[in-house]
Amino acid sequence: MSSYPLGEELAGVVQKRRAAMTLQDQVAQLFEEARDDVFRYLLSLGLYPPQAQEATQEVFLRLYTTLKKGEEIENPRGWIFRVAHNLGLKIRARQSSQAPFDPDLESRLAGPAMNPEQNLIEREQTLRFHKAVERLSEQQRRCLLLRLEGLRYPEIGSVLGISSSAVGEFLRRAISRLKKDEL
Amino acid sequence: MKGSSLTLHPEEEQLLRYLDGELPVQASGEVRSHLEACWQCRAALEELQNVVSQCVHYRKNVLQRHLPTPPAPWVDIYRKFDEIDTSVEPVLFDRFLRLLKSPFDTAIKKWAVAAAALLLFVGLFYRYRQTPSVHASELLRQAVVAANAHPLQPRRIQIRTRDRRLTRPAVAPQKTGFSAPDDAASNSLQAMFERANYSWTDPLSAQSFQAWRNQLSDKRDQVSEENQAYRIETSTNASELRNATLTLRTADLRPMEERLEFSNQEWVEITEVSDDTTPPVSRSAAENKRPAAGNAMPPVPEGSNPVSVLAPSASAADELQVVAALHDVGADLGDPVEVSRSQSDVLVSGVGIAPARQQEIKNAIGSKPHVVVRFSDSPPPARAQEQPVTPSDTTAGGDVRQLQSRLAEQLGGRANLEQLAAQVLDSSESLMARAYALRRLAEQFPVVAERELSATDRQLLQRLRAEHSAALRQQATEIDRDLQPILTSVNGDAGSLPPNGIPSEPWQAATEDLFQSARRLDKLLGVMFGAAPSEIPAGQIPAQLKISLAQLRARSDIYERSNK
Repeated sequence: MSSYPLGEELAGVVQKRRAAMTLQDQVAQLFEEARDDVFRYLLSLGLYPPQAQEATQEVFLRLYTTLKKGEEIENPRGWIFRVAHNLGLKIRARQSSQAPFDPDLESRLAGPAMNPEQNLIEREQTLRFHKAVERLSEQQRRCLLLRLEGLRYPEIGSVLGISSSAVGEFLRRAISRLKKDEL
Repeated sequence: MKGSSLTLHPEEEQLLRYLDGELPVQASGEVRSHLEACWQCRAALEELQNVVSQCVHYRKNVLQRHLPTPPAPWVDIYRKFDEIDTSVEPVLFDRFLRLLKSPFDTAIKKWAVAAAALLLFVGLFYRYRQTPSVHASELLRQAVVAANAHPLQPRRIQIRTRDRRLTRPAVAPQKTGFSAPDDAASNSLQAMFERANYSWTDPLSAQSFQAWRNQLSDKRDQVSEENQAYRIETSTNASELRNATLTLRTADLRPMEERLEFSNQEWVEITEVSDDTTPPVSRSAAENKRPAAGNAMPPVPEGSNPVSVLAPSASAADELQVVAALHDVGADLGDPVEVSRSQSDVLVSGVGIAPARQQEIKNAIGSKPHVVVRFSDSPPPARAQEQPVTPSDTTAGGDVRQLQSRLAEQLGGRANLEQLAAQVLDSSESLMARAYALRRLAEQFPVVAERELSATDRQLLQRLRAEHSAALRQQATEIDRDLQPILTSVNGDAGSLPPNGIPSEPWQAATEDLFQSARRLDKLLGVMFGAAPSEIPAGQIPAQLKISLAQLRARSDIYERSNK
């Protein structure tokens, strides 16, 4: 340290501070963009809304901490969902005595008041598709939800701890069943 | 290009991968070329795209709109970032920078800069040299307290060096140690630990790390926290053990892994054998040789070597034993369980498996060597009950609808057709589970791997194949029996088309043929009952189905014979 002139040292310190600010902006932007998606994914794991919100925030703070340490994350979105998934499962495991959160979307969708802009046929179609999604196996549904969040097969595999070829097969089965059930 | 031997069209999975940009470049080019020439596949692709669009619509109009919103306003994330920064960076930085901007004259500023730089240096020194020592010392103290407060089951550890690997109980009995006369390698390891004055009896423990660290006259510590764990790294020149890193789980300060680097350039890594996280059970005081935090690995069976077993890397035989154990509890038929083999371990992984089933699988696997089991702890949310598949009026094209109407008429009504459809599609699903299980065996044990197996293990592999293929054949027979009435009456001119000769290829290749036949049948059944789009004129479906069934049964006959 002492072998460098003081001015350079100070410049380094200032630069670090600037870099930290930039990092804050980057993670904050990602938080803004993806927090609702992560929150919903955590709900789908059975977390109750307050837990899901807290866990979502925790995920982004971990992202910040990790990046701040200088670790490189190739795909932050994939990383975020992987960490969210693991954290969500841990929270669920700690509260295994409690029934998983059920948003009861079916009754929400069935109520005309909830979908005033939809006509009866559209409501029925939506409800039928929702029921078809609910009938998918756990793995099929998780693969589908993560794919809908823009994750690629290897990233989904990394989140769920399965191979990307297994992801492809789960997705194929999911799409096939949805096609069969919906059409 | 993969595809049905009859049509050479890409399969649905390939089309989906193509849509998703997940195919390798060459395969993608082949599919693209095929699509340019094939209306049928373009239509199939469009159908897939339609479902994808519906999924996107569902996300937007159902999930985004109707799932509960966060119950509280989102936090000010910048404030949280600052809190993290404050906890990481000395506040001195800010003061220092403010000082630089102050309107002091140059001379004063120079002194101020020098003083601040000194403060900064002292701060950094304190942070990187002193604070971690306090943290390390305190963390180790707490970890020892935690270990003493929670006596748990015995656990097993894996000790790896540059050129060997062994598994043993975490706490080796003092009397025996590594004293087997033929165990020179282990003895040399033990000697290395003893020269460094590091406990060989109980190497993966906070207590041993603390004892070694406390004796050092000169040491440097670093403490970090990541992935739910604290990492304590201590370096020294005052011991033959130059660098030791202990990882403690944040939640309970349980030692999870350790890396030791010695002055002779040797290194040793110690980890728990399994990441089993089932709750610990109490055990007698007599069993508690060391009341340390440990995991729930089953205790070493009585009569077995209680100390250690020098073990080679995981082999095809190890993997086969795991596959056979899973097979015994039916976990190779649809459970989301994967078995993979690395150089060192056979990894059994699964997500979303109910705890009771996890336990069943773990019990089946037992304490086989080189096996790591990783299950998610989460109980899966209750799954919606599978609903019976019914022939769909809307999926099928006009031709198929007519065919279904004829079938319904012959069976005495649509309800009977629906019942038949559910029954046959269930059988087909069981059949496909067997076909997938066989294909996995062929993939896991290619010819080269099979050659590594002993005669006994080859017999075991053969038994697994035989059981799956017999069950597959049984399902095919049931489907044949269930469909015969309608196949005969709807289309009487379909004859069987046996496969061409008996394949002289290895069973692995024959398995792929069998799998493709099963898949072809599954697909045709889906088409006939309106569960999949039709690629062929509906009038030909019964004949194709009959041919497909005959082919599958013939292939499974041959396959079974080849197993004997």
